[in-house]
Amino acid sequence: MKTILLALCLAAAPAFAEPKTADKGADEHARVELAPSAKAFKQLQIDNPLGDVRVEGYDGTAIQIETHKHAPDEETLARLRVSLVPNPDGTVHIQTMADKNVEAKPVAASAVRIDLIIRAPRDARVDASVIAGKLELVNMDAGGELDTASGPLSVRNVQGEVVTHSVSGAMTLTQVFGSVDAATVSSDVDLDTIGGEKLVASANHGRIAGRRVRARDVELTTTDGKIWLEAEAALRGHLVVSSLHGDVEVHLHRRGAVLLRAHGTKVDLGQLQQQVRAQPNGWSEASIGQGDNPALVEMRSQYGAVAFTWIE
Amino acid sequence: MTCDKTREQLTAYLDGELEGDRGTAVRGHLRTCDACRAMASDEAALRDGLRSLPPLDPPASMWAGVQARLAKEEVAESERPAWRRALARWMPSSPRFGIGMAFVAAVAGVVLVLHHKHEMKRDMVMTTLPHETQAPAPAPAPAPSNADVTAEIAAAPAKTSQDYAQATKELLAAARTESATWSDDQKQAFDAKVGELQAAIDGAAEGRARHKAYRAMLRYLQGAAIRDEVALR
Repeated sequence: MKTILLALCLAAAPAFAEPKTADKGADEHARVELAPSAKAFKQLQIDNPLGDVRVEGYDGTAIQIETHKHAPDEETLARLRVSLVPNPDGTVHIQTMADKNVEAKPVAASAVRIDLIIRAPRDARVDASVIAGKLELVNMDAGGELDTASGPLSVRNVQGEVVTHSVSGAMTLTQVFGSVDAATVSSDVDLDTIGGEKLVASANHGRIAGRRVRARDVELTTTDGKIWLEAEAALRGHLVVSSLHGDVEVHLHRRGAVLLRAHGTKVDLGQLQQQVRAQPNGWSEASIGQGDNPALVEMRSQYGAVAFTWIE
Repeated sequence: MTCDKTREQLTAYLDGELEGDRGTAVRGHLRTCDACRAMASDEAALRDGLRSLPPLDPPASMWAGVQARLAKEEVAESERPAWRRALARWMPSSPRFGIGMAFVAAVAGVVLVLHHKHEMKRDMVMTTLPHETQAPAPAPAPAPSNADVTAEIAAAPAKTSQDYAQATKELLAAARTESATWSDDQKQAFDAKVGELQAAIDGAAEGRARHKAYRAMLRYLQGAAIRDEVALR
């Protein structure tokens, strides 16, 4: 009963927001605040197939939701809904939809929008999905799982485990302090200041660029795209950077001992070239520094070039 | 009296609408069932809290808009031929009936919201932004005559699956090329694993579950085709 009423209220809220019909369509803005009752909000599940989602963490305990709707006319605007369903276990489900109305004239998905800006307690985990809209997660402490089809995906200043998927939406992850698993089919992945235990990223038709990567175990894989990585190797850490057709370039900051293995159509190990030991299987190896537990750096490209630079 | 039956009647019970033995039965169940009693207690507390909220009135302009549309419709009605007015009285799908029903529905909706506002969650504070003058939104793309947003959204998961299927096909071909250097055992192990992952894809429901199964397949194929994980095993 409560959940139905909350959904009803959200659907009704825009009606009181006095939709404005402009020459080029109708718009509505509304804001809802939901405070916790018994349990703190622990997880947000957001599905917005109709537009953008931005989730910002803050120090409060309530969830604040701003909705921005756009449609070609008021009749279509009235079909756009946002439902908010809080569950007793601390999970909140936010879903947008367009009502099916067989009597209304058909309207294309590209002609309507619902954009959501959500401010949530920092320690809530966020699971969110969009289709073509932009998906952003900012200033959160419990990570999340984000999914887009073609919309760009952005994560900034987030702690905790972060999992991101997209088909063709570009990914940008900046200042993530937790394990990262980022997978895309045909877009680029940009990583900057990643400091968790594990970083796994893959792109079939796209490049991967990583700066200031300090994850202990790193696995970057592309099929066609280039990989560019600037990283620090942790003690006993593993950096495995692999491409089928793309070139691979790794710039490593000097920290302890490293065992370097490289394989490609062309291998350039820079200042370490003279220390290279050629292996019978076609790999080149070099050891750098002293220590019992060297980090392993493995770079390979089946049909591309491989280059390594040691940053003193 | 079961828990389900009790919960169905809880709202009516708290509203004092259950009389006689029906009310007694719910009350009796609540005396013996902790879970239902807790639910009833929550519901009652919620109502108490929400009664203190200020009344939520629709803006006057909403009624002005409805009245203006009705007036316009009445003028149009008066200008119709008599035979069409007579026909319209017998055809509920006529515009006049539609407007009337829309008005009734709007009134019913507002009454429902106002009537139930005291039942809304106590700590939910809903505010609406003041009417804003906005920059014109980007011109919406023209809608294809036969496509609707609901159909497009419903078709999106299958489109994503198609994209994943295409990527799987490409990586599988790459892995087959790399498999020239594998032993027979390695090839068999690879085929068995691919079969298992494909079965998981086929068995998964369209949507997130299937996409997840495709990602597992892609990850395995990347390992096989690009990171030599089959050859090195």
